[in-house]
Amino acid sequence: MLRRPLPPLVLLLVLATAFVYRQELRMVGVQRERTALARERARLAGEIRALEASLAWLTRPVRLGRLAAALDMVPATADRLVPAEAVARREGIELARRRFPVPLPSGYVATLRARPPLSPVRDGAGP
Amino acid sequence: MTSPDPLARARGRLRLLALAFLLAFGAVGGRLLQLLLAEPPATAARTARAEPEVGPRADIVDRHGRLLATDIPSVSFALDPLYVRDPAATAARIAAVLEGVDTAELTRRLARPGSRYAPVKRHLLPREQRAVLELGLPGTILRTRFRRVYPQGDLAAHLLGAVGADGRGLAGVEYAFDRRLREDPDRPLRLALDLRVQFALREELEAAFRRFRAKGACGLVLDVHGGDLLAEVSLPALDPLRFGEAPEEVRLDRCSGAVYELGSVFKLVTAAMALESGRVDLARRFDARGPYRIGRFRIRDVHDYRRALTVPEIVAFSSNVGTVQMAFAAGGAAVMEPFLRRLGFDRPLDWPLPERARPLFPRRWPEITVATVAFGHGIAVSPLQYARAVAALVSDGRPRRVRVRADAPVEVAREPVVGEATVERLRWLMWLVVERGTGTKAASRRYLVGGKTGTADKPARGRRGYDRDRTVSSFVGVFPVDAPRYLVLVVLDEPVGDEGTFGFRYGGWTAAPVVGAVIERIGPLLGVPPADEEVRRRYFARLREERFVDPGTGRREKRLAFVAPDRR
Repeated sequence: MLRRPLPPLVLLLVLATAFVYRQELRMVGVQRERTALARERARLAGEIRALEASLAWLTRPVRLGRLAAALDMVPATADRLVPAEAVARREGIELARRRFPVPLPSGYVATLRARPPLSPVRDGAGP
Repeated sequence: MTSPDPLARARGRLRLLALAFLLAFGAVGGRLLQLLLAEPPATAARTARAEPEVGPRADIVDRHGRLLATDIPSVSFALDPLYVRDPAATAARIAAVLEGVDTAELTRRLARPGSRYAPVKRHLLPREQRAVLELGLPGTILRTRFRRVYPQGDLAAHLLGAVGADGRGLAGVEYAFDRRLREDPDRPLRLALDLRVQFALREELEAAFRRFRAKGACGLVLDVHGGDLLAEVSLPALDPLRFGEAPEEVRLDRCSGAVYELGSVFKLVTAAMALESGRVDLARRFDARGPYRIGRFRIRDVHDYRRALTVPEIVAFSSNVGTVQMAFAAGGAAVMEPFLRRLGFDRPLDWPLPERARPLFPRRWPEITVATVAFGHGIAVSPLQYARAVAALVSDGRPRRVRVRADAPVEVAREPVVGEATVERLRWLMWLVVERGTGTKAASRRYLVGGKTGTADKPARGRRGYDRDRTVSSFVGVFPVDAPRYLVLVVLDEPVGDEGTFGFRYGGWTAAPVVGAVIERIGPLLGVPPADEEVRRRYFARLREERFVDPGTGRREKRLAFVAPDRR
């Protein structure tokens, strides 16, 4: 086996070196990609922050107050607050807020919700 | 000497060669394993440095998650003077495209020998950034950094505070929670503040501040049970982005960083003390014919009542003479000093923010001090400190720590300062002030409000005594008064009466309407149902009133008395 070992050993060494080089190259590429992704992530995070700040600025109470006044909207007064018991068809409204999981024969679980009443009104104040 | 066998020599060389190859392959294999299995630490560090900086400070949000402070990317422009051949010409070119650049100053910076960094302008707008790039100047340095912005503007500026150029908190919440904001930037800091309540308070307070041309104003809303600071407004308004440039009187947080002799609103504390002492009850009368003399001092009322007043009348009409006697009847200094200490008036407010003014608490307690403290002079506390004490007196008698953060635990004192009976009577007295006394302008059509007015002369400048032309007018209100949930305090510093107030600057004319308006606005927002008629009837049932004409002055007056529930 050791009669002519040099050529295959050299070949193996060359192949291994090439493999190592290829791996190094791929690693550098991955690192570059990772850095670029991190930069992109930071840029997008910055954009999200700026957009959130813009949203907060556009929905600040001072501006909303002015817009509401221009639209003839008035703030709710305490008279609009009624005990829950005074709300007609309260059970129906509360039922409509609940979600019921329904397992289907296919194995999929669908979510079922009851249909809410069309016009919740106070007792005696409507049909 | 015989030469060794050539075959043996060759085998020896081959073994050596095989060993060398083994070592080489071992090294390559080891390196391969290292590359495949573990990332070298040096490479990881290099990658981290290459990543752009993430927002250095966490957002600040209100109790409902509305954004109050955040960091947004901002570009700063600088030049490397090494690449600048003609500093004056370069500075002129830059000044032509960028507003606010001082050409002379920039020229000086660019010409500084040995310098490698000359800052030009921070927080470039996108169009400015484009203009700078179009200039194509050698040595241009554009750095993206994060800038603290406050989307709500100056709405809660004093509470939030500000951040310095180094990204560290300078005041308010930004300073108090600086470490938390820097070390945990991905998790917003949630405050107890309610932006909707803050806005309502700010609008109403600012309107009064402008109308009465006050020097300053403070308003706050406290959750009586949790100690949550739902709103805190200090005026004049502060631009949080120009914190450093603002004068001291604008930077001052008047709710927690300043102390005032609050005047008659302090009579609530005296009344609570007197009722709790057991020596004074609501049926007791005190001679209110003034002036009341203590040594060379004379204590007067705004107008002479010329008769004995009941305790409800003393509080409702805000009689200084009656309050002083009530304080002495309760036990004087021996009772008053420890009572005020238990309410925390002898030390700065225990809360996390740096704005903590030290109260002016009397060192000695002669009779005149007891008398003046009884009606809110001779003792100066911060409005927030006072609000905290009143919140305790109308809830369950136990002071609570003011909560700035929504996730902070509710901290309640173990021992109550007053008992349930005193709390119940104090609520009725506060209701009486708004229903029949000096605080009628704080009344609400929908809620049962309780409160107390206060008007204090300010200490004179450059001489002893007080200046009658400069006052601190205030009103403290709680609602719903039968089971208080929220407290609203408004303090106006040096208001000037107008035609609408007939020139009066009393708290009942200036501060009380603000509190009434705030309660009308925030009640529905906070889900407080309107007053129950049954409760209203129950409160009126304890009141016996009689109207009469004072034969001495010819004025129409009213007598108010408490009817104990068992005597009805």
